[in-house]
Order: sequence, then C-alpha cells, then structure tokens
Amino acid sequence: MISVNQLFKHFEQGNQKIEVLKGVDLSIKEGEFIAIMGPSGSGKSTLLQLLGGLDTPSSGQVKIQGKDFSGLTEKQRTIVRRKDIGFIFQNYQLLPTLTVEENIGFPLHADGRKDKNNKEKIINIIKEVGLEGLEKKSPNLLSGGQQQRVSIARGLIHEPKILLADEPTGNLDRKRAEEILDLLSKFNKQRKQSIIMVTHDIFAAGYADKIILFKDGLIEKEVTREDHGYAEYLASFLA
Amino acid sequence: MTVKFTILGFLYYKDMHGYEIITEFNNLVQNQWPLNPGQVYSTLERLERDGLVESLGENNKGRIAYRITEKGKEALSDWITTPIKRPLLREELYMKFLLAGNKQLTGLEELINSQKELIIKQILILTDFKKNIDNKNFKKIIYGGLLHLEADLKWLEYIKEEM
Ligand SMILES: Nc1ncnc2c1ncn2[C@@H]1O[C@H](COP(=O)(O)OP(=O)(O)OP(=O)(O)O)[C@@H](O)[C@H]1O
Ligand SMILES: [Mg+2]
Repeated sequence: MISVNQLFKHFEQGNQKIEVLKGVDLSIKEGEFIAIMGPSGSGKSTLLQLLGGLDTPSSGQVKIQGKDFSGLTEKQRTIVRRKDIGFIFQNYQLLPTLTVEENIGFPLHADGRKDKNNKEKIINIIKEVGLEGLEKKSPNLLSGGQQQRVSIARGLIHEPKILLADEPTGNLDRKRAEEILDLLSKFNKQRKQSIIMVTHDIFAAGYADKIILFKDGLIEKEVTREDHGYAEYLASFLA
Repeated sequence: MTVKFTILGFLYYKDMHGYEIITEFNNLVQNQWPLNPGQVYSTLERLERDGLVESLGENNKGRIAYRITEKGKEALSDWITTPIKRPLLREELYMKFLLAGNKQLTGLEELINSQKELIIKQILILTDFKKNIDNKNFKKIIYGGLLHLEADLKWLEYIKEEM
C-alpha cells in the first residue's frame, strides 16, 4: 500500500542545513493502523507530509500503491492526493468562512468536478461522525471535539485508502479523545482504510496495530503487543 | 459481598439455578472477573438460609433453581443505591513509596520504572479489548479503567520529576 525507501529530507535555513529525515524505510499494508511516537522535533510531521505528497523528499522514494510519488509532477501528485489520501490535523484546519457541511464537502469539489452523489455522501458521513444538526453552523461555533469530527469527515469524505493523522487528539481531553479514536478505529475496520497516526499519547497509540518509535530522523523500532518485552521498551523510550 | 448481590441481581430478573448464574456472571463481566463456582453454590445456600432467596427444588438434571424473595429484593435495592468507597490513600504502591522515600530503602527508581511498564501494558491491553468488543456498557467500564490508569501514570511521572 505505502512503501518508503531510504527517505531523506533536509531544510535549508540561511547557510545552515537541517537534516530532518535520515534514511527512513517503512512499509504499510492495506488496512493497517499504525501509530508513530517519538520526541518533539524528531521529524514525525515531516514524514507525514512526505507520505501525503504535501512536500517532496530530498532523496529517496515514497510509493503509494506502487506509484512513485517523486516521479510525478505537482499536478499528478495533487490528483493522487485527492483520490487516495485523507488528512487530519491537530489544529483541525477548518475554513471559518464555510459552514460545517461545506468544509466537509470541500475535497469533493476541490477539483471542480460535480457529482450528484456528493450531497448524499456528505449527509452520510455527517451521520457517521455524529454531527447531525450542525450542518449549517460555522466551525468556529463548535467545541474542539466537534471540530475534530468535522475534520475527520472532511478527511474521509472521498473515501481515501490512506488516512494520515497528525496528533488528532492532541488538543482534546480524554473523553473526546476516546470518542475520536473509536471513530477512527471504526473506519479502519469497516472500510479497511490504512491509518497512520502521529501521537504523543500512549492511550491513543493503544488503538494501533503497531507502534513505530521514531527518533532523530529515523525509525528506532517497531513494536506490537505480541513482541517480547515491548512494554519495557516503550516505557524506557517514552521516559 | 459483590458475588452475593450479583446473584440477587440475576435472580431479580428470572429464576435460575447455580450453573446458569455462573454462565450469566461470566457473560456480564466478559470473563474479566474470575469466579469460583463453589462460591456461587455456597452463597446460594447462605442466601436461602437468610431468607433472601427460596429454593424451587431440583429439576430433572438435579439442578436446584432459586427465586428471589421480597426480603431479597429489598436487600438488593439497598445495595444498588449505596455508594462505594474506594481506598484513596491506603494503597500498596503508596506504602512502598513512603517506605522507600523515608527510610532510604533503595529500589524506588526500579519500582517506578517497572510500575510504569506495567501500566503501559495494561493501557494497551485494555484499549485493544475496548476496540474489539461490541458491548456498550462494558466499553464504559473499560473507559473507567483507563481513566484510573491515566491518573496512575500521571502520578508516576510526577514522582519521577520530583526525584
Ligand atoms: N519548513 C521547514 N523549514 C525549516 N525547518 C523545518 C521545516 N519543517 C520542519 N522543520 C524542522 O524539522 C525538524 C522536525 O520537525 P517536525 O515538525 O517534523 O517534528 P515533529 O517530530 O513532528 O515534532 P512535534 O512532536 O513537536 O510535532 C524540526 O527541527 C523543525 O524545526
Ligand atoms: Mg509534529
């Protein structure tokens, strides 16, 4: 589904070169739910941006369903992104001038195509994420948990195969976080959508099939509950 | 105590024999609460002796069915509405911390690390369980368990910071 091969990324700042990703190898199967944990500044968000084609690597490859992202033009990348990839951000990134349903429908008509099923799709997803009655409201008037639901609905409206979530519960209390995670987990199971979620929260990471521990631009280890000594490793990594 | 009233709780809905109660109990707690079958039968006898249930005699398989009495219903209702008090400070973990902290016993750091490890394990196991069951009420119980783990984890992190 996704394979990443020797991915490097650096940023130039003045005459300084900041090495952020230092040769990441990773492969993610269809329907897998992955959590990425690691210290602040280790490059997790940068990795997610590259996985979603929002930015380009300095070297190395990101392949989505066998297609090499780096071989595509900006325009072709955008098409893959709109079709196969959904994003959820910690700070929701909703447009305050649009209503809830307009925000959710945004990915559907971003490319100018009109589809008479769009309306139905929007109604269905609003039901699934529990936002009925709030369709015409401005997102500014919603609670944090509700805004995150809007952003999930927007991330999933085009039924992408891959959902990339950067700290989706970072701004929520435990109860709202659990609701959002239950929702993500439901979509993951029902639609076999792969989810890659960056999180600092071990409770959120518990929802994933696999936890990737990321440090200093590299994957240090992948752990699952089946691995011997995983808890010991996690405890010392998260210390 | 809990087993006694749980049995009354089951009999409140319908007459049952011991084996049925054990099955219902295990279903209700999703097999998360080990129950000694012998305890069920001895508790039923005691409940009968105290007049909280009455025996309906043996069926053809030799199983004795029971029915809750009016007195039993009252006892059940008292129990259901009485709040329960958790020990807040009298915890073994806190005792270990006090002893190791005051008496210069070594091992506090090891305790904190291994406790954190255990909590992480429990968080992952409970979350996986929550993810995979459909029972809405039991999900709520698991959420309660997770909130306690969150508090424990925060406390450990606080102790570690202060060390
Ligand atoms: N556009 C950019 N220009 C320059 N430096 C950048 C840019 N984007 C990220 N960086 C740097 O790359 C490093 C990794 O950033 P990134 O946002 O990927 O970290 P992160 O692991 O997501 O951290 P956090 O957990 O705090 O979100 C940081 O040092 C950051 O300053
Ligand atoms: Mg980040």
